[in-house]
Amino acid sequence: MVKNTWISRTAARLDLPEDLISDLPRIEWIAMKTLKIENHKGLNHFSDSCIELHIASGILIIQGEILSVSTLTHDEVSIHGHIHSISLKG
Amino acid sequence: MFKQWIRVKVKIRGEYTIQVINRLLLNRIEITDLKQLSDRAEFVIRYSNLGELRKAARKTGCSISLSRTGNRIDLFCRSYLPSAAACLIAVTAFLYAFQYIWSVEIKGANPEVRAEAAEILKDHGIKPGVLKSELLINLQSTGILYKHIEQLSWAEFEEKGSRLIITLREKTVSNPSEEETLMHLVASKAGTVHTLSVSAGSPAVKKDDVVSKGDILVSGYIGREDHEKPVMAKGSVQAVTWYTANVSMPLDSRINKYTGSNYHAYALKAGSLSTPYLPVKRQSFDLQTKHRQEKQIKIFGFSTPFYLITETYKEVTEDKQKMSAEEYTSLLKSIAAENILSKVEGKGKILEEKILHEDIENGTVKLTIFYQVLENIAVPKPFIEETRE
Repeated sequence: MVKNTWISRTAARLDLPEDLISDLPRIEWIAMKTLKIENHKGLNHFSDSCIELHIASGILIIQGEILSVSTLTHDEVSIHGHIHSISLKG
Repeated sequence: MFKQWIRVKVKIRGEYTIQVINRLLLNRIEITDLKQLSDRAEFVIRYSNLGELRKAARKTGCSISLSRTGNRIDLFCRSYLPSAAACLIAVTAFLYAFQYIWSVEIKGANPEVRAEAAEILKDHGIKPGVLKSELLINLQSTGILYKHIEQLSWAEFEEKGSRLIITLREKTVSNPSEEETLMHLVASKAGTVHTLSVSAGSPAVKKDDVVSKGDILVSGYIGREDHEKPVMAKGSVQAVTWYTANVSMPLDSRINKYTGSNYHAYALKAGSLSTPYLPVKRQSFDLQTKHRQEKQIKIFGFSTPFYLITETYKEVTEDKQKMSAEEYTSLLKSIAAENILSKVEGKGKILEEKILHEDIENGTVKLTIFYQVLENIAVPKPFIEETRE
């Protein structure tokens, strides 16, 4: 859900990706083993079976097995492991 | 500097581990290899960020312990080796590129010779993209060119970085035959010999000799009798020659003088269209000169397609010029002297001038002036039957 409607409208008009001009998260899931998330707002919960990340529109829940965070910076996180599901809690 | 490179493994125990990590993230600190073990979390940060970790862990009740990261060399290799290898490859490729010739420029000679030389060099492997060490440079290459191009008189190979510059010179002058090079110096006009300067040949005249046109001044034969050897006579023979100049000029000469009054008219022009001149009503002079000037209009340095035409009209009056006899004489003398000097191609020197005759006839001044000029009268003349003694 996009709160900044005028930003999304502008992005649509200018044919720009929304994640570039707004604070929306961008999620890349590569080969079921690597997950890259940009524009997160910090960790909420962390264990080897579940990682919860704050994002602009709620909490992103990643569930799986042997999960580990290979890189964690202020706006990007890279997660490795057997990822089973990704869900969003608004 | 090394603190940036060294990495430390952090083991953190406590209730608020997540808060500590989030505080580090807010301070833009990079965390790697974050793992949650049974009773603790483990991650790796840079040694220089340990101060920030201490601040982040303050009042959270978390206990922190530090240890070395497993294999330091492995970590170094993992983080820096790819970029170092890329740099090394780039530098090697960059330096290796200098070992090649990337352009071959052929200068000089005519386009035909250049094209021929380019083709021959290409056939012999001198072309862009070859290694400098494989190149047949200088002696061998010039030898190839001399062998194939007959018109070539000189070829030079020069390496400038990755450029190969080949300078060619073609044979321009064919060698004159022996008969043509052997010559006398003869008089081009009559005169009295003043100075003789001979660098080759034997002088046939001496100072104060009067010579007429065609006389041999410097002979092309040297040596004693019966052992004469023909050479190309060289030298200069300065002789006093005589000229008579007739000049005339009307007594009354008319000249135009500007009175100083003028006016301007303006018009705009775009392409082939132009506006009428402004002001429309304007004064006019009986005698006037017109000067037109076109100037492109520019706004803030940008050229516009409009031109401003300015026409300037200047009033002139006709005036009769009267000069004294002396003025006429000096003016005519200078004109006559210029004429004479132009005849001797500016290389001569006027020794003496004398007015032979002065006359005023039908409003025209006529002057006959005699000139004595010092000039080089020697001209080369090849050996032919008439001159051979």
